[in-house]
Amino acid sequence: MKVVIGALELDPPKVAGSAKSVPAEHGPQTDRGRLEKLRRWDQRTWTQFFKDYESKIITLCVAMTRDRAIAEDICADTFVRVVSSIDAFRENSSIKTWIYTIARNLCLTHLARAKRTVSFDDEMADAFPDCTPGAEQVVADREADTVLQEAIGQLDPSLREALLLRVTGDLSYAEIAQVTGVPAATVATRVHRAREQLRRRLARVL
Amino acid sequence: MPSDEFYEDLSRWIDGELPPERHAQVTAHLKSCTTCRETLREFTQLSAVLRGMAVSDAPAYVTDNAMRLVRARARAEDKSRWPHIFPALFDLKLPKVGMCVTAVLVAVVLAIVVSRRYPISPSVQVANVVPAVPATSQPRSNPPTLGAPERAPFAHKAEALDQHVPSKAATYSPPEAEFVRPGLRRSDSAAAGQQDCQQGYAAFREQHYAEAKDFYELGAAEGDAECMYWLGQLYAEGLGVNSDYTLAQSWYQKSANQGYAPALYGIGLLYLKGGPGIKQDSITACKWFRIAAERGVPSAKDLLTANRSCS
Repeated sequence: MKVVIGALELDPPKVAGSAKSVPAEHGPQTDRGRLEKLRRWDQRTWTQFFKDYESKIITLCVAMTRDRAIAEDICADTFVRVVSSIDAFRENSSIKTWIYTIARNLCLTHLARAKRTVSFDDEMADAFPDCTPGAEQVVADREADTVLQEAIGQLDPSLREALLLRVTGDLSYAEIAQVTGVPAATVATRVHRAREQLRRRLARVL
Repeated sequence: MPSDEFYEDLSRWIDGELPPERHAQVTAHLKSCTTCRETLREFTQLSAVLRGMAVSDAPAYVTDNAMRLVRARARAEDKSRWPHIFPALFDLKLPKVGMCVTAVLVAVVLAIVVSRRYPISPSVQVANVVPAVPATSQPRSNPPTLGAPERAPFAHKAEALDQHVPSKAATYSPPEAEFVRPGLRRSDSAAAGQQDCQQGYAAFREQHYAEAKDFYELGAAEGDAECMYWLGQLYAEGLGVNSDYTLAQSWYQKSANQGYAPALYGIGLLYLKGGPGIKQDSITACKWFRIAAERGVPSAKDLLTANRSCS
């Protein structure tokens, strides 16, 4: 059921501490059941597990590394790490938090090792098509996406990471805090600042 | 103009991270503030755009290495921990002792079934196919009786088995009693078979063996065990037909399968003598005599009593 506020029609927002704040598919009971099957090396469960997370992990890694191919490699490495260490998983956090933590750490390791200082403008230059017939139309069609990606790329990495974990990873502030190692209040501030900066930069598009 | 703190709360309101009281306050404010509603619209649209950016076409190779590792671990687990071979069984949480007992019982039942289906000796086979003879079996009306010279084609062999065997016991006698087949229903066809058998025996006494054979075959076709027995006799002795021990044994066996115990004695005689299709074998012959004696065939009992080599 939608919530109508003025002319806005929204999905009902969750309230902190309510049962609705934890999606059913990520509840502790379901998480434990899935973990048991994963530890029994049930191949169907593993296949579904990877299917659930592959897109989200790649999205996060693309945002962090700004390279789709590297993001896919890091996602593959993340899954191998998960398989290798599932027996050692101590259940101090949820599986979701754990796998995002692994992916994030691999991204940071990659960035630190490569000491890569990517100019976002250079990256985006590759994204634009050449000046071939019809290219202008392509550019026009993708203008909104391009502007959005540019704005996201200009965000501070910590803000970008917090916002993407919240929006595309569907992690709560507490879970993001576990993944990034900062207090939940800091996460809330980072998410808001990221939103605010994007809103101002994308005022023309939105 | 709302403060920065309120906008942060608006962000938390979208993410469902506000406590209930504050959540209600922000909701109430949104209903009255146009500026905040516009900010909410932009935040919401931004989230939708970000979700739309999410990668949706992950290549297969992303999971290939991990799944190979999973399969390898699964194989290793199966080898090292046999209960994983039957995860469904163990999910039932049956007591292990109960499972072991069940497994043993299943094994025993299987062994019994297999041993009955594939017997390793004639005695086992016959014990299976020949029903027990009722103690109160009554003689059939006027059982045919043959004279000793006429009905004792194997007498000389029986005597050779043991010199001490009395001639009466060694010579073959016709069945003195009817061995009623348990569970067999008398019907018109049974009566017809019995009549065919009597007519066959009448022809037999007249030494019209070909005619006797025709009547016996009719009776055998009706399922009469005695006719089958007599057909076996004709083939064993070569009366009206060429002597054929294989066919003789076949008819004896069919008769025995119907519960006609003297046929067992006939099979024993075939082995005692030996001939085309059956190799002479005194030990096997004794086994058949023993089975026949256990089912109340007097001739077999006499033979076994007098013949120490069979005991």
